Amino acid sequence: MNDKYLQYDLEDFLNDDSFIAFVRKGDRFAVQQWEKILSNHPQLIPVAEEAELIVKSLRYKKNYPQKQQIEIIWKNIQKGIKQENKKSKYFLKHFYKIAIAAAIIIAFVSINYLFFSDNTIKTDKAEMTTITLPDQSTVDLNVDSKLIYKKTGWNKNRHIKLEGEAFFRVAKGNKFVVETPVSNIEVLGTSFNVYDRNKRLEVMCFTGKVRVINKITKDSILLLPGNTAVIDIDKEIEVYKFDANKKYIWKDRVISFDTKSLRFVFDELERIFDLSIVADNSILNRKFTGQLIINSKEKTLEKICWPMHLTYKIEDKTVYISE
Amino acid sequence: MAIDQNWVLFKQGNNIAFEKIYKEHINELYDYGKRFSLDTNVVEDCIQNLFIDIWNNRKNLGDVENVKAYLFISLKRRIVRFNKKSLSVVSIDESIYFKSELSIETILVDTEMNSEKIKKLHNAYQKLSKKQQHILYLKFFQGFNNKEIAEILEINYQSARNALNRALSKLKTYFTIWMVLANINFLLKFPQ
Repeated sequence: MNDKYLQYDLEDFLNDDSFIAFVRKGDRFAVQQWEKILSNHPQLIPVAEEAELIVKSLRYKKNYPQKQQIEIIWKNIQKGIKQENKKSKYFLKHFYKIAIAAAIIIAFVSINYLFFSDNTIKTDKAEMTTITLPDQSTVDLNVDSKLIYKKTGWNKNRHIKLEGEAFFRVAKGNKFVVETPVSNIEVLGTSFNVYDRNKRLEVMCFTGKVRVINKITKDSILLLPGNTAVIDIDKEIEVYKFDANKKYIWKDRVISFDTKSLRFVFDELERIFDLSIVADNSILNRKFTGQLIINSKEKTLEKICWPMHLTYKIEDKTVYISE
Repeated sequence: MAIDQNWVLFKQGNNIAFEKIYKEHINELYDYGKRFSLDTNVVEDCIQNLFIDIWNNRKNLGDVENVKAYLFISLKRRIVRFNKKSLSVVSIDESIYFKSELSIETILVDTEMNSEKIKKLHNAYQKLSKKQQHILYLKFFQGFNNKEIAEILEINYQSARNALNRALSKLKTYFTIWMVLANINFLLKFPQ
């Protein structure tokens, strides 16, 4: 038992729970034990003191509830428990009545199926929004994009039309289909990002499995997490890899470009900030690679212009880029 | 480690034992909850639902060795699930929701560091990853050991230990500098 302490370094002290208890002086046994150890190994004292200082410096403010809150929470717990008991007893007692009522409601809802209504959600430039679908799936809609779906009968027929860009988090259930100008995307329960603008489609699969179908050529591919499918109209589907754990995308307020023309980059910024960007073709044809954190338009423009030796001038809603 | 007696009784339907478990852990559970959500209502709701659910499922629960760790995992999962619904962030590491900061006043009182050094430590702590902050909080505030920390974070023991040591070595520089520069009054009073 004594030998292991001879080798003790700072890390060992800090990982030793009895040492921490000794510093906190909460555990009498630990205090006795360590007083003995340290008097037997005085050479350990400097390291022990450093460890003690660290333990004493990692202190947090207590965020404890007030006495009344503790009582109220407990009362609510008791109430909740009694309700559950009541609920199950009630159900058993009135089973037949409930079954008949349910049957009537189902008949009523089926009639409503005949009356479809389209839900359309549109974002303008510089506007983003989040939609929760009837099955609790969520859609983060990026700037300048459009979403159309039918609310009634959603759980049976999960079909959504998208123009632009959106990040989907799909709850498990029936087949979920996203239709874009270029493609049909089918999933069961998963999270993925869809970008479909200017005849270019990019689908990124974060979790689950995503099937991407080219509406025109009927080519299809099944994407696994960490893979992006790219369809440039008239070309074959290409697949790229990305790290699903580390990748930041637009809804994290980060956008990345990999050798994209400044024309493409400014296109995206025009949408995000609702601006009009004016520049020479020689500038627009230049390639940009980098990651931009979207905060203010000035900071974002700076981050592009500075490394490329360009300057920008903002006049109202127009930005002029020059050498 | 012995099985918690109150837990055994509670599983049999003993409401008094159930209340003892609640009273024993409510303060620390609430503190933990507040680190994931600043909304008191959310924290209270999650704690209430947690206790209602374990009562309703008591017959199906196993014999839990560490009730506190069990409650912590359950609460964390609930609040993180709630956060995920209302914010549009996909996070694989749920520590992203964890917020904490060191208490400058307490450190001032308990150590002989001057407030300038403590502020620097405070800033260094803020620069740690959320996961590292989460681990330090569980170890030094809630008193969990490395095995329990790994359980609560739902990662393996070695990952937890590595993350902890990385965090500590990042903060260590602040102490080394201070100890070297200052004239130290030895904190541990020992007969040499």
